[in-house]
Amino acid sequence: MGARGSITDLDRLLDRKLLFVTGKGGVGKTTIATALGILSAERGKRVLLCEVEPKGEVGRYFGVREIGFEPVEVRTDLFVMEMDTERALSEYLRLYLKVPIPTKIGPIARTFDFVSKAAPGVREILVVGKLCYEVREKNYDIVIADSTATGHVVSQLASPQGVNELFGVGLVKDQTKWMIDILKDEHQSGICLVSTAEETPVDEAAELAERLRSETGVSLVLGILNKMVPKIFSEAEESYFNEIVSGPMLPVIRRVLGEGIDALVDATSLWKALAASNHQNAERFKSSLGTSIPTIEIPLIPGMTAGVGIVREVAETIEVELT
Amino acid sequence: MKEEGLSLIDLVSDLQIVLVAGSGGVGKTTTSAALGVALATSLEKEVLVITIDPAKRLAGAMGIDALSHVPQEVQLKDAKGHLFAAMVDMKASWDEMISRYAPDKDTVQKIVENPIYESISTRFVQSHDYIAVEALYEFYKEGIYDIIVVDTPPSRNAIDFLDAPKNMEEFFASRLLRWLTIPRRSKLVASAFRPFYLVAERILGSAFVKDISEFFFDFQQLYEGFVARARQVAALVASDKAGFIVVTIPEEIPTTEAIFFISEVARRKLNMSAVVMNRSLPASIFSRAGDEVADKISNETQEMLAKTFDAIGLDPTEGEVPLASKSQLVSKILVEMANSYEGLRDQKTMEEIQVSRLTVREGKVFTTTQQSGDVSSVESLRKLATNMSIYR
Ligand SMILES: Nc1ncnc2c1ncn2[C@@H]1O[C@H](COP(=O)(O)OP(=O)(O)OP(=O)(O)O)[C@@H](O)[C@H]1O
Ligand SMILES: Nc1ncnc2c1ncn2[C@@H]1O[C@H](COP(=O)(O)OP(=O)(O)OP(=O)(O)O)[C@@H](O)[C@H]1O
Ligand SMILES: [Mg+2]
Ligand SMILES: [Mg+2]
Repeated sequence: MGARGSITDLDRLLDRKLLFVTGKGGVGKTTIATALGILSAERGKRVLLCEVEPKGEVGRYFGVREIGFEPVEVRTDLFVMEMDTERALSEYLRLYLKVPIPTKIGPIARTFDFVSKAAPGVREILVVGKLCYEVREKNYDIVIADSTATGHVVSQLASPQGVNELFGVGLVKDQTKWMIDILKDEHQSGICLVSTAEETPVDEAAELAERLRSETGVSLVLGILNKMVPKIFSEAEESYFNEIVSGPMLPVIRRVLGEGIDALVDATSLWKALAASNHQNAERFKSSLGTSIPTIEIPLIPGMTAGVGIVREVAETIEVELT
Repeated sequence: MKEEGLSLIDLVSDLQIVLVAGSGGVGKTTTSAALGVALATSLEKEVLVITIDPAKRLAGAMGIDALSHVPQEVQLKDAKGHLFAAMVDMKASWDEMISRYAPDKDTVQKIVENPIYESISTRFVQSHDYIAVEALYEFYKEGIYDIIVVDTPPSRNAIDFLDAPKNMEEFFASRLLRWLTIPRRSKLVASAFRPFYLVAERILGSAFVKDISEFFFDFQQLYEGFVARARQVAALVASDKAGFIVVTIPEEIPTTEAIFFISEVARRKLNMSAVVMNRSLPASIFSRAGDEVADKISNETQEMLAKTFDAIGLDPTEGEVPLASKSQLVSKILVEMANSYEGLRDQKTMEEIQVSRLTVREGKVFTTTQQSGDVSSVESLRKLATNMSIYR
């Protein structure tokens, strides 16, 4: 951590009002979004953490089973919700259409849910609209979206602009401008792009970064390489390791420590190779994002089952990396 | 650890269709390709692998690219059969499907040119899932290939893929779809639907509602073709010509999904062929002797280790590093080696927990090992394939 009182990169990141965490399936979006939520709350912010494609993961991290559209305060100042387009739609209809009898919303909402499946942009704008709405109403200091995987997030973030262009006139169109204002303001909104340092995820991340840039106008503010197998040796150590295993030293060590040293050599070689391959792909990731976008690395936390322990460690790493 | 007489190849060699499923990023595409290589190598058969979004270098290595979804032969050395690979192109497959089922050219034109077709063809009602099954059926019907291995698209739930034909059919049969097309079918919207349209037009704008309505009106004319095909596809997947392989990795969440998938396959009375635990760590690395040495190193301080080596005198003539710092360096390296070993061993323990969760449900768990780099050449696929072994 930097000197007490100085503003860190993490502070700057969390000073935004709306953060989207995205990336390919399984790379760690939910873990990282949750870690960012915890870090924000620890900084005294009132946080809304939203699982956009709900699987109940976030709830599980906090030991809360039933989380739905209504935010639940899982710890001080940290609220969690799961996106539900049908509920978002009823809320929308209630807010903007002032449909008088609440019972009428049911069938209309169902029908609309169906239309929104087919009509481009409608479903997406409901998701983004709900998140932007919470920002506009200043209900929270920061809204963190554990967003959908590659591709889909582009249509979500591009939906206000798209709908604005595609729809002639109508209420939805009238509602897009303020959303665009929030989304395109880099001081208010940003995207954290998560990837693992492997070939396909990095390829997809690069493609996604490009599409986010050209199609959404929402700023990419942080690249995160997750599950990195860390390098264990400096260059000098590395060459000495090679010298040990190929030279006369290994038999000496074997005599002192035992036969099992060979297993350690094998394990180390595998580890080194994994780390090297990770490192190579990490470089590709960084260069595809460009030098202007900071990138942090989060190590693979080995041998743990899914859950809270990992989130805690990930949060600590982010804190250290972003001082 | 090959068990006598049981290999993944044996399990699927009598099938005509092998569907490879699993949650995102676990290695479905890689496993499909490796399986294709293995099948074509050891059997005198014509094997086709249909992949979806393969990694660029892997696609390059197999000689396929996004521009063509025509199967290309993959050159294999010393193979008994032949391997072909194709890539599913969503947009092209949609276009083809529209032309196949539309009653006339005019309708095709109208659908394809509707402003909402583009976005619909890329995402509505799990279209990716459906297109994958559809593409499979086209190739199957051609009758050129003995075995078709199908990679399935990344989806939120592996199970979506199984429901794709049914969802497609339901979509077409739904009352809501009929409602949507009413403005187009009758100028006078039935009064029962009026509130819906008033609201729709107010929210979406009337031009947009008209576009949607037009589109689905035209689209509905494909109904019969679509539904008939969806049923044939579903029947094929359910027949004993087809079998599923579910892929997972040594992590809790993907394995939970795999278990769920297995139970769904059983519930639907489909044919489960095997489970593949990808990225398994080679068991040969770990041993009791290894554990002991790692323990020894971890329990001693770096200084003590250094002293030991000073005492026995590590060959002072070797290299440029002076002796004193040499033993320091050696002990530092040894500590890192012990850490690597223990880190991987913890990972292996986790893997065994996941495997045991699977073996309870499904006896046949195979492993493919973690490679030290990306799997992006035919050679590395072959290596992966020869390593496929049954877990014990
Ligand atoms: N740094 C890490 N080290 C080890 N395991 C990790 C790390 N980060 C995440 N994981 C684990 O990887 C798995 C996937 O993580 P997570 O659920 O956050 O990914 P996701 O991108 O949200 O996935 P999905 O696309 O399925 O929603 C989880 O089991 C999680 O605990
Ligand atoms: N056994 C393995 N050893 C090392 N790397 C592997 C292994 N299996 C897969 N990979 C790598 O993991 C990445 C993902 O693999 P792959 O593309 O096959 O997954 P997928 O399940 O098809 O993903 P998606 O859900 O996105 O389609 C690739 O970069 C691939 O090279
Ligand atoms: Mg998630
Ligand atoms: Mg794939």
